[in-house]
Amino acid sequence: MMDQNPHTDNRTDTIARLTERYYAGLTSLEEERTLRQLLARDESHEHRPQRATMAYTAMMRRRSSRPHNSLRKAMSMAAALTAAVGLTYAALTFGTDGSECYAMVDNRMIDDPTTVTAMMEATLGEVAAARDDMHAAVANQLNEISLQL
Amino acid sequence: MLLIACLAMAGIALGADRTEAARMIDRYASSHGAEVTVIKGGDLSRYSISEYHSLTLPSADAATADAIAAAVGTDMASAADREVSYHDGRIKYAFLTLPPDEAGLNRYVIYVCNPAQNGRRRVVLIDIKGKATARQLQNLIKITSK
Repeated sequence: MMDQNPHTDNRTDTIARLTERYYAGLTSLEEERTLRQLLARDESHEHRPQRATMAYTAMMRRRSSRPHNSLRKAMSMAAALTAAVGLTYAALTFGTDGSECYAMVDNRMIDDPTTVTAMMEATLGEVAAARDDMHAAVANQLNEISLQL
Repeated sequence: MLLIACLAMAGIALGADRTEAARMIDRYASSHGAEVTVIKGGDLSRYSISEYHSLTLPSADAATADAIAAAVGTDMASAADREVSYHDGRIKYAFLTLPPDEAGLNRYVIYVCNPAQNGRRRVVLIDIKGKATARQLQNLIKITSK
């Protein structure tokens, strides 16, 4: 007569009971976890089909929990494209928004808007003087031509 | 790769929109005695101007003045409208209307060059961008001189 290990018997019974419930689709997550743990510890030939089933199920679960390679590639490309477009837009629009008002005189910064505006007006005044000179020269030339006629 | 290509395109796009005058303003902004004025938005909007950049070199040497005049000449080649006067074969005054930028804003380059002491030259270079028409801008120049 062979001695029977009560722990082994108990484990075998539990595996048999849980396997039956598993195939019937009645196991809870906790029971499935218990079944996996028992099968992992069990090395008997008797439970090889169950181990194979659980290993296959676990592998499929891992696969289905992450996107397929092609989908992941597409998502990566979409993310890269979004980043590229975003950065391009940022580069194109950089500095176009918001106002700035400053002057640099001999590398010294002036940020008082009134002073800077006055400087702009002075510069435009200088332009106006040059433009007036040009118009005066044109007027003189036309005057000379009219005197010849 | 895609990212680098997009950034390169952005760089080209940004560069393509700039006038030679704007490049000269950047180039000589830190020159001795240089006076640079930058105004964007704010009070400028009442003149329909978006951006104003100017460079004044009170005593530019011949090489600098010639480089700036050459840049103005380059902008003049692509100008849609121009008002230019010469003195002794050199540009004395130029008011250039350049084709609008990609955003549809009008672009103007204004240049004035007068003799300064010791054979040097006083150079004023302005780069303006905005919705203002050339006539509006000329009126503004006329008003500010009074």
